[in-house]
Amino acid sequence: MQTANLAPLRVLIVDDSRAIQAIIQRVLQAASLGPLQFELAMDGEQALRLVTSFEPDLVISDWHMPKVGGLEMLQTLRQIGRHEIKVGFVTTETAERHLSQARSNGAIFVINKPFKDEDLLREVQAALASCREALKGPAPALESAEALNRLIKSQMREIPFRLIPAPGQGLDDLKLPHDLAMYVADGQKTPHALGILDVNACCILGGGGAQLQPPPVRAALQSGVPTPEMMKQADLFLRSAAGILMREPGTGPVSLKVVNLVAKPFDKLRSLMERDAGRSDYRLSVPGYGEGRMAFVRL
Amino acid sequence: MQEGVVLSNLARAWSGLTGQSCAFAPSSDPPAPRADDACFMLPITDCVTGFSSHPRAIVLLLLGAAESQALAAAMFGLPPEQLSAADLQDAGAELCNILSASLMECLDDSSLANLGLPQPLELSRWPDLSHRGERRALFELSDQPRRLVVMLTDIHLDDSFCRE
Repeated sequence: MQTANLAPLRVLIVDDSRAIQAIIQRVLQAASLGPLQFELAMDGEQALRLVTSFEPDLVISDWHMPKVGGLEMLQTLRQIGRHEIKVGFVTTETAERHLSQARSNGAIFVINKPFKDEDLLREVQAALASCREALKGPAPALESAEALNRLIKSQMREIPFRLIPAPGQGLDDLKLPHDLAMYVADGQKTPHALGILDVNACCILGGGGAQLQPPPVRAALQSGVPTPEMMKQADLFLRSAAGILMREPGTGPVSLKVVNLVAKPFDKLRSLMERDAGRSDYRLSVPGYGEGRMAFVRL
Repeated sequence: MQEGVVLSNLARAWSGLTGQSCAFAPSSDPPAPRADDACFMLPITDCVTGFSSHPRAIVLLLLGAAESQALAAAMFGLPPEQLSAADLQDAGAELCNILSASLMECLDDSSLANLGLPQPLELSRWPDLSHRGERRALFELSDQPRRLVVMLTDIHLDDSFCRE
């Protein structure tokens, strides 16, 4: 699963009319644009001051304002090297000679007042989509959720299960002990990735792999002690997972180097998870068995 | 000037901001203001001079109390009782700004014209300003009892504005 970036995108609304500020904010808040954070400025001068503290992803600005107008603000942003900040205009200005100046300074849209909500939304959606794309986290550790789903299905066969993305889960969310796998790519000296099954996932995948009835699996979950047969199946699962780990072009096949049941988490593992060079985190729920967690971490 | 286009743009502006459908019609004389009306002015300058103190035309807006409230309530998304006087003034000034953009069409040549910033106008100045210069357009909401009058006056050759 791709790690979703849930940080709010920052939108700076610049207009000398509080009423227009309110309309723009209301329209954007009512739409499904993901988490947004707003800041308001009454003119270009105030907006330029806010840029360094607020670091907006998108500026929606009026054109005619006291002190510093919209075009001057845009030109100043570019002059000070802030080319990455997207700026769009909502304005009464229609003169082509002015609007072409805005476009040549990188304005991404110009909408005339009064505007239709859908016109503003269309432009803002496009602008924010490209911001979100740029802000996406690193590539996930696994090829895809579908690939993991297929792998679990081959392990569980007819036993129904549900795979639930768990982005941002911490090491402490995984119940001890952990079945910890280290993967290496052909020709590489350093490890490629880690795979972690918590004890519940070991019981569930192990019990499913052995096609056990629910009672012994629930008993193992309750005691926190998987049977040797369960651990054998869990290890087999982690070995197979090597085939669905994400690889860069040119990287050789990845295989399991070692797998161990560890009773305590160690600091290095925690810091590797927090560094997040690429992660895939899931919960696995099986009716009658219970729920476990797993994580794959790129190194 | 295509009067039909201007009238349609004015109506679109009002309905876009308030959600109320309406129609504008030409008028012959500016009305006298009432005590609870709100007035606004917006200068239009030539980019040759570029000084807001040296306008070539002005837009004047007169807004009835009920219309002021309806406008601000719609723009701020608040019930009328929660609106402040500053809210009414802010919304009215923005309406003046938006209507002015439509009225620019009424100038003989708007290619060098720049919109200035809208500002509240004291009621006492309305009678004088609304009768000075060369009136290019005067429109009002045609569905009574709504009260909204907007006008454009060309003051290019009227030196008295420049001396103020």
